[in-house]
Amino acid sequence: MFSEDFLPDIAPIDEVALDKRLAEVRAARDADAIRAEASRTAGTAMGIGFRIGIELVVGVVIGAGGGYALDRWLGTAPWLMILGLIVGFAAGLRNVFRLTAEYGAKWDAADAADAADRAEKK
Amino acid sequence: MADPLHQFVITKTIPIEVAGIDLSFTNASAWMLIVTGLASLLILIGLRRPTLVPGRTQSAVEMLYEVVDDTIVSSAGPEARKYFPLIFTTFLFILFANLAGLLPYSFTVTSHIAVTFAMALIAFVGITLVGIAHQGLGFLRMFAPAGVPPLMYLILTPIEIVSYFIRPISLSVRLFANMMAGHVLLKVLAGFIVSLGIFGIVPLAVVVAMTALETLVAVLQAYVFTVLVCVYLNDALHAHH
Repeated sequence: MFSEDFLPDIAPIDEVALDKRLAEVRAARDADAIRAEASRTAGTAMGIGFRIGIELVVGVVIGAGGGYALDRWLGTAPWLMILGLIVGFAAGLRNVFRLTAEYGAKWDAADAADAADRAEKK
Repeated sequence: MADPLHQFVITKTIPIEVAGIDLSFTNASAWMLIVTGLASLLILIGLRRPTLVPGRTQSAVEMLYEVVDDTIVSSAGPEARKYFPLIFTTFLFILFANLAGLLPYSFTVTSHIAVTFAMALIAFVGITLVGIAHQGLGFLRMFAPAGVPPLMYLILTPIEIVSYFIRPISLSVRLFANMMAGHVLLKVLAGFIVSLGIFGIVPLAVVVAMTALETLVAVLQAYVFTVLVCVYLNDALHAHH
C-alpha cells in the first residue's frame, strides 16, 4: 500500500464545490438528452408533415387533370373533370389516412399505457 | 446570374446522339456519377479495415446501415430485409444527391422530376411485382377493402385504384418540389443581399438560417422517400385486413 507521503502535493478536495460542479454537469447532460429527444421527435413530426402534405395536392391535381384529359377525348366536359376532382381528393385523403393510421395506433397504445398507469396508482 | 432558375439548367458536357435519340452526357449525368462515387467512397473507406470498436468513418457507415435496417423492419417487417440492398442504395443516393446539391457551384440532381420520377417508378413497378409474386391475384383485394356494404365498392374501388396509382407521383413530386423550392428560395434571398447594400445583412442572416434548414430538409427528404418505399413494400408483402 502507498503511504500518504508518496501522494503528489495537491490542494485538498473541496467536496462541497465538487458536488456542486458534478450536479451542474449532470443537469447539463440531462438537459442535452431531453433536447436531443425533443429534436428527434420534431424531426419525425416534420417527416410526417412532409409525407402527408403533398398527398392531397397530387390527388386533386391528378384526378382533375385526368378527368379533364378524358373530357377532351370523349367530349363530356365538364363532368369527368368534376368526378375526377372528387375521386382524386378522396384518393389523396385515403393515402393520408393510410400513412397516418400507424401513428394513430401508436398514440392509442401510448394513451392506453397512460390510462393503465393512472389506474394502477389509484 | 441573378436568375434563380439558372441553377437547374441542364448543359451537355459530351453531346452523344444515337439513332436520332439524344443520349448526351450532361451535367446531371456527371453529378449522378459524382454522387454515386462519393457514396461508394464513404462505404469503401468506412469498411476498409473493419474493427470491433469502429472508428469515425466506420461508425458513420454503421449508423446509416442501422437507420435503414430499422426503417425497413419497423415499416415493412423483417421479411422485407431481402430488399435491403435496393432500399439502402436508394437512400444513400438521394441523401448524397441532396447534400451535394447544397454545395456552391454544384448541381442538384434530385431537383429534377425526371430523376425523382424514374426512381419512384422503379420502386412502384418493383413493389407491384413483389406484391403479385407474394400474394398472386389476392394482391388485387387491396382495391376492395373488406367489411363494407357491397354497394360501397362502386365508390371505394375507383378511389383505392387512383390512390394506388398516384403513389409514384406523390413520391417523386414531394422530393423534387422540396429540393427545387428550397434552392430557388435560397437563390432569391441571396440575390437580395447584393441589391440591398448594407441592409443586405438581413437577407444574409436569413440565408444562413435557411441553409441550416435546407440541410435538415435534405436529410429528411431522403429518409421520407425511404420510409414511404418501405410502407408501400409492406402493402405488397402483407395482405390487408
